[in-house]
Amino acid sequence: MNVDSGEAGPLLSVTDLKVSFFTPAGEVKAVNGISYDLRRGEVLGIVGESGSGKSVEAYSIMGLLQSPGRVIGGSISLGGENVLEYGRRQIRNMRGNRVSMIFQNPMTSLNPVYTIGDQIREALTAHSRVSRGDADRRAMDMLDLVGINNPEKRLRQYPHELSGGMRQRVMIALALICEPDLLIADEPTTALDVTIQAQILALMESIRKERDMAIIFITHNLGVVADICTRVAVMYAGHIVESGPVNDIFYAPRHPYTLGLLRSIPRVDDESRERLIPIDGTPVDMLNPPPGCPFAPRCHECMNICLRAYPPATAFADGHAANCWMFDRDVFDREMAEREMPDL
Amino acid sequence: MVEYIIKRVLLGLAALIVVSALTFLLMNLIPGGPFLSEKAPTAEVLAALEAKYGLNRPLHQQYFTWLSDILRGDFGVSFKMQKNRPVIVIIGEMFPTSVKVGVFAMLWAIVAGVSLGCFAAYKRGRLTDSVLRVVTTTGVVLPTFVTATILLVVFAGGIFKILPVIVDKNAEWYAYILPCFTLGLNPMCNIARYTRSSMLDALSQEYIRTAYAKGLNTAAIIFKHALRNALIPVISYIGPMIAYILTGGFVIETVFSIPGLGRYFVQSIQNRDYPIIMGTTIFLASFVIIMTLAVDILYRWIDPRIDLAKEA
Amino acid sequence: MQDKLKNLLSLHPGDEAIRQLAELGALTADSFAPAPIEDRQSYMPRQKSIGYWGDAWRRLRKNTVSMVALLVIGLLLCFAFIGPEAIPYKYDQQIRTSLNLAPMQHSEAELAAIASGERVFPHVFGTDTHGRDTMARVMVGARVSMTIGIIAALLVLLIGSLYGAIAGFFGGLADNIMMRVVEVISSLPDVLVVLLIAVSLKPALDSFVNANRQNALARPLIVLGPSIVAIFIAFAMLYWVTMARIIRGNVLQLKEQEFVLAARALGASNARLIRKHLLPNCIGSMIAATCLEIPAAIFLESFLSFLGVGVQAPLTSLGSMCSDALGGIYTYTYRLIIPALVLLTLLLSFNLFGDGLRDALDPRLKK
Repeated sequence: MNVDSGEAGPLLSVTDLKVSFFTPAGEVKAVNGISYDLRRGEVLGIVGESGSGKSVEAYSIMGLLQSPGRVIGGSISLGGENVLEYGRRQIRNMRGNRVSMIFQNPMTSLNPVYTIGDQIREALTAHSRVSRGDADRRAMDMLDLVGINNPEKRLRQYPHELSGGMRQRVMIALALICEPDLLIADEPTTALDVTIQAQILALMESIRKERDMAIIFITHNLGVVADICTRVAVMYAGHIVESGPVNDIFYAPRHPYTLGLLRSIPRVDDESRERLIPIDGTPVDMLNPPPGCPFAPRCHECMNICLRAYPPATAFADGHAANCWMFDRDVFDREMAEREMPDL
Repeated sequence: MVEYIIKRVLLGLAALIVVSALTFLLMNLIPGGPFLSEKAPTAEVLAALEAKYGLNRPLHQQYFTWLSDILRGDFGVSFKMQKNRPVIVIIGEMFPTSVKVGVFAMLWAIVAGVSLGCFAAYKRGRLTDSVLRVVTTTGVVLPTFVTATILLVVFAGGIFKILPVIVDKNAEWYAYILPCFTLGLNPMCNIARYTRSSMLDALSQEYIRTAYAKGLNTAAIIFKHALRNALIPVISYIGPMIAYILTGGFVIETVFSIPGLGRYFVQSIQNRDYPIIMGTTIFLASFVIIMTLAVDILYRWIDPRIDLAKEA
Repeated sequence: MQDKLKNLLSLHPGDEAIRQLAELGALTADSFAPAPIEDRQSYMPRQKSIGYWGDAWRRLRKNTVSMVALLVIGLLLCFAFIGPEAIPYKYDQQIRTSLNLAPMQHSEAELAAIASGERVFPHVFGTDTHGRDTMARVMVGARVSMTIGIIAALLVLLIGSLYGAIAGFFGGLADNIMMRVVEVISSLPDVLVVLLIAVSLKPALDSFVNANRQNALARPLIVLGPSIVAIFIAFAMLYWVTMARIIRGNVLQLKEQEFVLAARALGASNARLIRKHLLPNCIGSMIAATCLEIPAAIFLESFLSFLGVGVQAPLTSLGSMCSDALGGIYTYTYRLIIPALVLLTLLLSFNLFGDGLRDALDPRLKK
């Protein structure tokens, strides 16, 4: 896979990002210090259950956090510039132009009172001076690229005249018309039929190859992740608990939560007729997050230390890392063994 | 859509029948019937009159005769205020003035209400928003006769004396400022409140997020993407507003002595000129019902989301 | 301990941190022992559950505007219902020596009485052309307005909830017909119809009263007058439709839920189902909607009174006091201002409180 396009640094580098929502009831720490790098051509899947902070994290890259949400720490560096220090005009320049986003629900993500053509052209004219004719031509090319037939007619139609899958294709066309370096897809296939899902995924994959852009793919569907992603980050309660190459995450998961997630998806090819194992309990209350590991109360391996402090990251091969005290137990045991037998 | 229009027209017709039947029944309730006047007629004269006008026939027959008279524009004649003049002629003389005041009141109410509502939505949660909320709520509950009288005292009669007290037929245009302002005040505040909430609703929609993600500027997002969607539900308030403006006109025209149908109606109430009361009521009620019907159909016609809802 | 751990972990990432921590004794073998089940259970602060009413009350209390409105309503109730008993003047008592007094002004007779050492209760809001104390009249006017509002709202509650519950509960053709009736009624211009009723009821009522002076039915009619009766008729005829719609919507929603099905399966009768299951679930929205009908009725009454079909003298209402004040509006502006302010306060506080109550009792309505 064409991972390294020869550029020096990563395209996107998120370091210790913290996002909080200041609600009347108190501060909700939605994203609690996450870091990752993303290079051109890479597809990073961010997986987690709803409320794990995966969408909030993506919105903060685009500067789309709505009050009372605020980035309270860390940095987001896009092509070497810290996005969080951008002024209004710079953010506007970035949105839709260098970084684009597609959303979960294509039914409500398009404005019902404007035509498809209006809405695609608008994305183009917001960033460059183009004549109406040129804009129309590029919009039609783009619709053609995302597999919409009869684009000339579609340009004049309103969103409600199109099916869900068609609308999501329009959303993709809209996101890609300015040829962005990074595409953020927030559960783009969740609201669609399974057959349409597969088509949309294939479309995104082919465009990524052609344009050599990076994709952040946010989903709670592990099956989708396996299809399209090169790397995966698993989020739980505002933390990335495990991240690594897609194969490592699927075939050698380290964190108990990832393990639980994988056990809870049905597999068609599984011969062993093993039962699906759900993860017990409910996610933590983000309003009063406990001091230790947020997964601890649902974890079968829970230890005393888990309830007291958040675990540090333990690195494995190929950039695979996980935050769990289990791996530190091994280190600790070794250390203790060395101390007890200093002479050896 | 066609189905909806048919349904609405049928309901409108039903409402018109209810209003007319109610008017007819109440008219029959008044002792002495439609020939009541200062001088009570003798029994023979009354019987002769009743026979002449068919008042001795069954009630439902009388109703249909009366209804067909109404449909031909025969609302009866005034028996006190403009003795023996047909009610419909009086209405025809008076109504245009009321419409003039009403239209200007509505215009300023819509323009100012929408602007204030957008402004409040834009400043949501801040001090400006809270102040505007208190002001518009006060404006909504403030009875028109209170506003009208106080403004009259302040600007025309008592303190400033810059505007005329009486707005008669020969009044200059600026004489209409105060009546139109007062009449539009309540609808204006209502529209501001509607616009604010539907604007906030529109701004929280996902297509607004899409617009931000495209990199559009705030002005384009508010005026192009949010406002157009936000104004559609506001249109549905225009029907009730017409009704309000009409009945508010009774007070405004009385306080400012405007020679419109509203003031005349109030005078006819005070003089118990029943044919005028009945005629004007059924005329205005039909007017309101028909206008509301038209606005509702217009609303459906311009709202593309109706189809969306059907699909979902 | 936790802070120390956190600091160390951020200073020394990876295995090195663990070694350091072990050296410092911050990590012991016990740290890595399985956590006892009690500790795991008490780890997450359990959210205490609050009942519907507790929750609604908490939401309402947080709404400062509504609480202030509630306080004002309480004060107005005292003003209107205790006030007239507390001051020495009656609303229809004409004091010939105290005509047209300004607020707090004393008449010559009163001044003489004060000079001779008597204590005279001041006319706080002055007196009118008949020498009646304005404050006493405002108090009684507020009492009349509030009584009308509350009775009309209760009428709406009774008719609307019964109608809505029946339509929603039986559904099908009955519901269809009943809702068409609601649609027709809600498209009638309400104020015009009320005016029509008030005007044409007056002569009918007068002749009825004249014919049956001694009749038990006539007495309340004399006291109330045609416009109040008209308001009650109008509310009974027109204003219940909103309430009926709300209740019907609630009932339709509830009807689909399992507990109703279960009750039905156990053989509960329809009447019992409505009484025991459906109405208790609608009670929140019923209260809120009723509260908002009160200012609507007060508003309507003041409008009618202003047009001259209001409550009949000697009884008064805030609307008819405003109307009476028009006669000497330039000289005695305060005669309009005072009842108008009380009326405004009344309408505003009921509206604001009703809004707050709706938000608190029906959280689904609130975004």
